[in-house]
Amino acid sequence: MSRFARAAARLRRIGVTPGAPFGGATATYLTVNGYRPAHLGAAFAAGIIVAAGLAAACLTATDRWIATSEDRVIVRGVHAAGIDVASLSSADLAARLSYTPDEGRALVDATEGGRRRLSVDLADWLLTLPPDRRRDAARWLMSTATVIRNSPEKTAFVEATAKLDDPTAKTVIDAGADIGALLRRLAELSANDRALVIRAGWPIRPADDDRARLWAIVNTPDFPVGDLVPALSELARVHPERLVAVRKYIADGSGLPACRPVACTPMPCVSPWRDGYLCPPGHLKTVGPPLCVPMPRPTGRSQGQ
Amino acid sequence: MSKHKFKSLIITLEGKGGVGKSMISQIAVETARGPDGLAQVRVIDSDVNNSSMAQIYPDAAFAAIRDANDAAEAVGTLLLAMRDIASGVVDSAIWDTAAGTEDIIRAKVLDQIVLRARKENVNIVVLRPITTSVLVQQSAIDFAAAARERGIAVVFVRNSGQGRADKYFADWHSHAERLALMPPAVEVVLPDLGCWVADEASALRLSLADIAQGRFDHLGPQARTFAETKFTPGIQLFVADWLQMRCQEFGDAIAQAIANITHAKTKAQSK
Repeated sequence: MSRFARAAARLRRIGVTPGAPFGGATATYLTVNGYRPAHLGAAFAAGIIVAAGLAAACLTATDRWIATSEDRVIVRGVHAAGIDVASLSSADLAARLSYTPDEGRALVDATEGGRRRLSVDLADWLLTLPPDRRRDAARWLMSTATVIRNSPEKTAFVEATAKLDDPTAKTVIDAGADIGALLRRLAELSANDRALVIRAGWPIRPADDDRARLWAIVNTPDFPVGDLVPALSELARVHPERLVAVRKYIADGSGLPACRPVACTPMPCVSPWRDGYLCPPGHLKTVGPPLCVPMPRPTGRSQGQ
Repeated sequence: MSKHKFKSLIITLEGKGGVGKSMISQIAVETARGPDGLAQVRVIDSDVNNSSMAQIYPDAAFAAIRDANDAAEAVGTLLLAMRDIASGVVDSAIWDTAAGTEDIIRAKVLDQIVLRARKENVNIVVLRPITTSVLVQQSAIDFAAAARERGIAVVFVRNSGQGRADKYFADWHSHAERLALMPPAVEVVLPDLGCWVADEASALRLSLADIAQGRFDHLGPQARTFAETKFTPGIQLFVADWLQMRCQEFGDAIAQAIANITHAKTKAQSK
């Protein structure tokens, strides 16, 4: 942790909130180039994971969980997906997001003009890929750059993608992860928050079969990821220590003693946001239309810890 | 916070005044000092009329350049700094140049330090402030084109403070020559710090790092009271967050610019 981060943490521990040298506007995050004010990167990453986890749903009774309790929502989500908590690099996080096949095609023969717009490392990386996979990826990267309006952030942004190492990039391409959606969302953040997202490192590692199921679910066009992000962002911004508690709870079951899992009972499955409605045994709730899908098979980790 | 070790002479250079050179130099110093602030950094101030860096960093070396006759002394200071970088006495050196001296520096100083940099295997990185001035922008582009030929890494620092909204940089964003220079040049944005924080810090001879860490003990009683009143814990926290992010972004940008120019030099040599 840097000396400035330590100074900031010390002040936050004693209850200080960031000042406002901008005439009353919140100064926690600056608006740069018209990008809207920030959400913490970790909250964004958490939102994606939570949404994915909730889509795979859980066995615990909703009447035990208060919908407004973001902590329990997060915990329930990641456990529901059978996700094992482990250290995960920021690059791995990107690699585990889903993608739609239309967006995630392979990489390009970078044109001379295109190569100038990309960092040297990324251009070279493109050229290491099979020729039949390069074209679409470079086109997609350039279209992503266009999304952020050819601003200087584009350069830093494309350079950030260049930091994905080869194995991770291969995982991304082979498994069809949705870098497109992640990067478009990153493009909406300020430069400050984008750096936070890159360094988020939210500690999850889904099992392979669960990952495949999650990807299938979150790839539905109307998957309402966006609804979760603001609520979780607010949590992360106002009470970052709560995210810490959530992580600890996921890791060893401590820290959230009020959360007691209850087994599902056979009931019709409707929206998971409404208390009192449960899925039938062996089924999971999904976000969006009231559907139930079969659970993934157990991964060896107890549900609802 | 930047984790990079640069082994570089980092120069903030722009002929026009009031573009944020000293602010940018200050961020470069804190970036080069590393997360713990323990890396040894040589600060060199050339701003005779406004030696803000020397006021903030008392150990700063001073290399005045008023005219071409001063250039020799300045070159000596820079060569010494590069020797110390090469031998590990310091990790990096930050040179805050003065307004109105760019022409002299490019004519009398740059080539000499480039030669020494090649010999000592030290990087040269130039931070070019970018404002809404077309003249400043074109000057930066012209410099970057020349710098590429000399193996000098360039980072454009787009200063978005003091009301410089993104819309005023529309031409800069679409400038074909700029796009053609990136890479190897890199760009980073310097967001607004607030209209009075930098002014008061400068008046009190406080660095942004001092404010971020609440270090006012070295001030006189009256100044200290004033500083503690103005730079409340909330402002300290804001500056700490702001400086943390700037160091990270500047560090990444400088490292990338060095990597880019190194790659370009290697490619040119292999042809």
